[in-house]
Amino acid sequence: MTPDTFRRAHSTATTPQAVAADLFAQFGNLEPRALVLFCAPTQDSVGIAHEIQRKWQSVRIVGCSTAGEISTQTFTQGGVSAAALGADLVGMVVTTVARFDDGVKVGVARAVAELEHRLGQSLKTLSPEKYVGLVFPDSTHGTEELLHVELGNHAPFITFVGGSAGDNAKFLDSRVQSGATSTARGAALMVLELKRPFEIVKGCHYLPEPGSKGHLVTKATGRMLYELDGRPAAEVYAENLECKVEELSYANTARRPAGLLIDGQPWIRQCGPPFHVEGAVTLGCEIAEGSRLHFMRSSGMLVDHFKNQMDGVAKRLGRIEGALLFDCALRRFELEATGTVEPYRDSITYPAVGFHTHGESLLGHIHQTLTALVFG
Amino acid sequence: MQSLSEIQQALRLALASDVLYGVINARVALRTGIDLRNFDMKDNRNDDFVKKVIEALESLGFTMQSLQAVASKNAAVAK
Repeated sequence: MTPDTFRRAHSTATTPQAVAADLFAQFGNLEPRALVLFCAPTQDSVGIAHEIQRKWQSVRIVGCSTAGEISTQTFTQGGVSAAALGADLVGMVVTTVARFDDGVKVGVARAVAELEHRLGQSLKTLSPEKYVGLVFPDSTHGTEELLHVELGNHAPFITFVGGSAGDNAKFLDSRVQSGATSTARGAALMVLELKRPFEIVKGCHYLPEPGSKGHLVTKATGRMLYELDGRPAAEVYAENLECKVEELSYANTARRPAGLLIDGQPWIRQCGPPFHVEGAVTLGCEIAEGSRLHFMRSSGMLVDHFKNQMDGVAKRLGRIEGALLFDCALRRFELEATGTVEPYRDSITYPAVGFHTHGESLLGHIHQTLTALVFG
Repeated sequence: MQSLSEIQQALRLALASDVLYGVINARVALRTGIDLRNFDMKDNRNDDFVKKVIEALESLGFTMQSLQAVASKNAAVAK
């Protein structure tokens, strides 16, 4: 008998009823405990959730809007991808939306209290070997960094992995949801008890030059980076990217992204418009003064790095029973620029569901990275 | 605790696994810019850095008292 673990589904239908029918047909006879739902901004994600809940009253749904939908060997824009997690994979599951209308700290505290009430225990006491969190923040209010600080304070040992909701790179109106409750200002959270081995993946094929000491962040406030090594940040960026300050754009900052190096691993801090403002650089992510920022180079082709990394995960887990992939939209742009979308997409041969993000979540907010939760 | 290396050692002892140590280290590094697994020794006794790391760890639920207790117990066992 096929175990009830992970089933993936994808739809390009345009009404909630038709999308739900597509998903049900692909989920087969699996009755999910949890359902992860990624919908293009043009889809009625609340309507879809209502249809799902009419069939399965007790299923816990979490999800968000996208900058593109992913499932096994399928990339779409305008569609829906969804994963049904069954009783052989998931035990306890709780979900909620943290609303940030009264501030992030208050919103997270309320959400955590709700999760803990339903779990019957503190998030601090959950075993990281059995429990994992999913987190999907909105991408239009600059709240991801504080969200992760507060989540970390409430639950320092379990990892929340996910990505920022998208709206096809417009950064105007992204939505996150739990069940049929949706908000444009907050984060959707889910905590899962897992019955099978799992691995949390962080994939980034950029690394600094060997021996790089990086540049000291001498002045930064929020997402504005004013100075590196005591000099205007925009000048340091332009020198490293071998361009003029006025030429700073996604074209050159994505080719040589800058980021932190933590325990030898890159944590990218990408720029965003306006790229330079009176000598300062606008980041899409906060950076602490005293950090060292490294300009990085690609260590090879993105598609090869991804394949090798997922092969490694499959070896360690024995097999990939299912994967939730949160893949930066900038990585998709890189695949498009290098003509490697098809081999990348086609390398996803295992059951997988995910979306192209406006930033990734793993202990903090990062860019130009793949984060993933993979089940063995 | 007055140095990053003291904090690093106490935290390693307090956390059961290398994986957990990596998680906490990443949280601290993202907040402070200081990577306890890989810092320049010339910064080891930088008061500002030590203070930042202690504040970050305290907000994550690690008191310096508990870390110091773990470190002292380990030192006693080593003797």
